[in-house]
Amino acid sequence: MSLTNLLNRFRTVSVHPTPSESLALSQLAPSILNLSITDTPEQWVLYESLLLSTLRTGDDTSARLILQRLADRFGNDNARIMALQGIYDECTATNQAQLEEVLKNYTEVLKEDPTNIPIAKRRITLLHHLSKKSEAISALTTLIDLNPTDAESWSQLAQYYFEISLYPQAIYCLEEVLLILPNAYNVHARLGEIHLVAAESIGSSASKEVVEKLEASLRWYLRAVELCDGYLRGYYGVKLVTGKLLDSKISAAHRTIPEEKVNKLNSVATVQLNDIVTGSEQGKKAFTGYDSAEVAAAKELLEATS
Amino acid sequence: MARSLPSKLLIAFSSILLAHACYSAHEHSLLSTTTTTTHDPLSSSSSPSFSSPHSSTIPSGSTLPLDITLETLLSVSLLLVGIVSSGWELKPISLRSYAGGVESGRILVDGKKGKGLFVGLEERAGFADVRKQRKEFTDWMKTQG
Repeated sequence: MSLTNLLNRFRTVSVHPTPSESLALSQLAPSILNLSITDTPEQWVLYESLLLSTLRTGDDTSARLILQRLADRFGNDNARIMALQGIYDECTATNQAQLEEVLKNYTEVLKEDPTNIPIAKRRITLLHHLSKKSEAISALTTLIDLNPTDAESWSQLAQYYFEISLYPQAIYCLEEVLLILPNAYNVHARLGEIHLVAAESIGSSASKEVVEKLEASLRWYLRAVELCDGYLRGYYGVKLVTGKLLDSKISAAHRTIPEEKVNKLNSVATVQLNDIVTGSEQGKKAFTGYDSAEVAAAKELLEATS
Repeated sequence: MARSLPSKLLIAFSSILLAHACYSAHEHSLLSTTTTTTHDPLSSSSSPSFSSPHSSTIPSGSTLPLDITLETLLSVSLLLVGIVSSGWELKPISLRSYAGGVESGRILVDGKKGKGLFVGLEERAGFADVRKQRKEFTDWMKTQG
């Protein structure tokens, strides 16, 4: 297989691959390592992805070799190589004490150079991994103070807040992401999801606050489908939230969006979801991009409400 | 490129018209040069003045008959209309349709199925917890036996 073919195989897989995907990618290691080193950017990207795959599957000998080659080329003091070395150390640490040692290394590196962003992100991830969630959050806010235009950091902070049920903070962080990337329709959908979860976390199911949150959620979902035509996740949210708003338990007095509008939105979402579900079940070419699990979930929702 | 029948006919018709206009223009220029060359010896022998052949060649180049000019312009505009309306698929220029195409798999990014335009914001490679993924993989291997 050529370099481009190999690279394409890595590109089709996400950063969080399923175990079987990881295994398949990791097994490419010998063929990639046997290719002659051409010193092209593509090759080093391939090496980096392969390093992560081999570490996931526990092929530490290949990982060591890849890391060695990367370090020979870019030097041990390159920020990105340092982060990769850090991931290697994290993965090969066998006990808690060794992990603490890795963490101490990160802290020392950051003391010398607080602007080493990749290492700062590794340190935050490791803190979170060691269940020091509040420390991870405070380290991440420090990083954001240093680099406030990094959408990835804001998005991660939102995730950390979401995990500890601080929904208003999570929403604030995602709104910051939208200030940096106003067209990120998946972040709009995520905001819809968080508003929905926040609404459901409130005990009394028909209070004014719940209706407000549901309506906010609906607005975010609607913006998501406005930015992205045929967005399955967005239409799923629209259908789900309008269904909840139409629930008879919710009194009309709290609503700001008129009921007929909600009804109309519900039927539009139903039509769109139906199109997507039937299209992907028939295997039509224009519907091959949808995730099969998402399509199955949409089908379930349609069947539950019909 | 799949073309519809009316636009095919339009393209064919306007091409013929354009070719005809070119031919007419060519014939016209030939005609004017032959008339000047036949006129040339006569005028030079009859009168000592050189102004008359000059005055006949310069305007002959610039005064292309109006009908040929109009035919050319008309055929080119019809050809343009024919090509534009020939039913090819236009590339999306709005984010809404492009993002939708990538999500649904209609539009391929670099020749393969895209993962959405802003997927990096949710995958967050810089914060990937590889150690956790490694543990998940080990657990999965155990279930596989």
